[in-house]
Amino acid sequence: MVAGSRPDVAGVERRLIAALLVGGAVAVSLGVYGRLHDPTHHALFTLFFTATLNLKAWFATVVVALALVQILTALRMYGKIKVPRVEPPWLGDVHRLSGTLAFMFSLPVAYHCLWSLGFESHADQTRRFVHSILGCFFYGAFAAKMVVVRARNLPGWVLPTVGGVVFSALVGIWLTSSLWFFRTVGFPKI
Amino acid sequence: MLKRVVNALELVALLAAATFVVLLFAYRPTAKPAAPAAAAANPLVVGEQVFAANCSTCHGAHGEGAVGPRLSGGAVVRRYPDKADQIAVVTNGRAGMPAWKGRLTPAQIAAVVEYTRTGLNRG
Repeated sequence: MVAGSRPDVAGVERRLIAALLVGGAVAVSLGVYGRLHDPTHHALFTLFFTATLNLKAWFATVVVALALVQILTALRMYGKIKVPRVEPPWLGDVHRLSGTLAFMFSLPVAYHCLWSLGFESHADQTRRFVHSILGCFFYGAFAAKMVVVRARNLPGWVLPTVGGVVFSALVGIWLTSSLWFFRTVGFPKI
Repeated sequence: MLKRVVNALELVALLAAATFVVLLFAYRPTAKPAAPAAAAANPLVVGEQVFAANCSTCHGAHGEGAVGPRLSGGAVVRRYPDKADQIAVVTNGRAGMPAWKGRLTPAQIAAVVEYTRTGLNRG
């Protein structure tokens, strides 16, 4: 191997640290806001749902569904699954589209959580405490993924790993909110 | 074509994220006019304010129930014939109901309990 073709280890480390810093800053900022902000306890718009919480439960479910599309399209792009047998040229665009839509659907949910309910810092309120932590972590991981996606020459494992972390956090959020809502209040509860 | 749609949507998402951050700091719900002093001392008035600010998110604006159970129409009185039991639940929490001890004063808890037992049933 000639010296000029060696991977730029320092550059890779710098980009990874930048992604971690951006993600950490986003997560911590949201947590600090949720902790310091005086919750308004006001409902927001409901669209055609009967209450804001119903809207949130279903929007979060839509986000998870879109994230599943992200996972499946990513698996196909990485060749981990072979369906469809020939990779369509628009697969990458569908991957980006599902991610963008998922992010947009998540914003009103997160807004109500932060602005109306705030950060649950009492660990004895286990579900809400875990949900608060995961909510902040999710957006931090998402921001880190956006940095990683745009960074060049990173090792091949980085993007799938960060994407998996984002998806795992999202599933945790859904389990501690929408699933709880559907089990506690009823399903389907529009 | 799809690529252009996605590019445009990503811009919209970026704007939405910026709006999200701005609204976190800028948006304040319209404040209700201050109640006259005599009305403010009325436990039902205090209870209504406490309910609107803290309970309506889960129990519905009129106590009709949402995530939390229905309270209006005498439902809460049937569930807790003894008011002290309801005060204990509001104070210490139970199952999905958070504990309000430390976040509301005992007087506010008593007021909001009274409001759910009598004020919500008037409508």
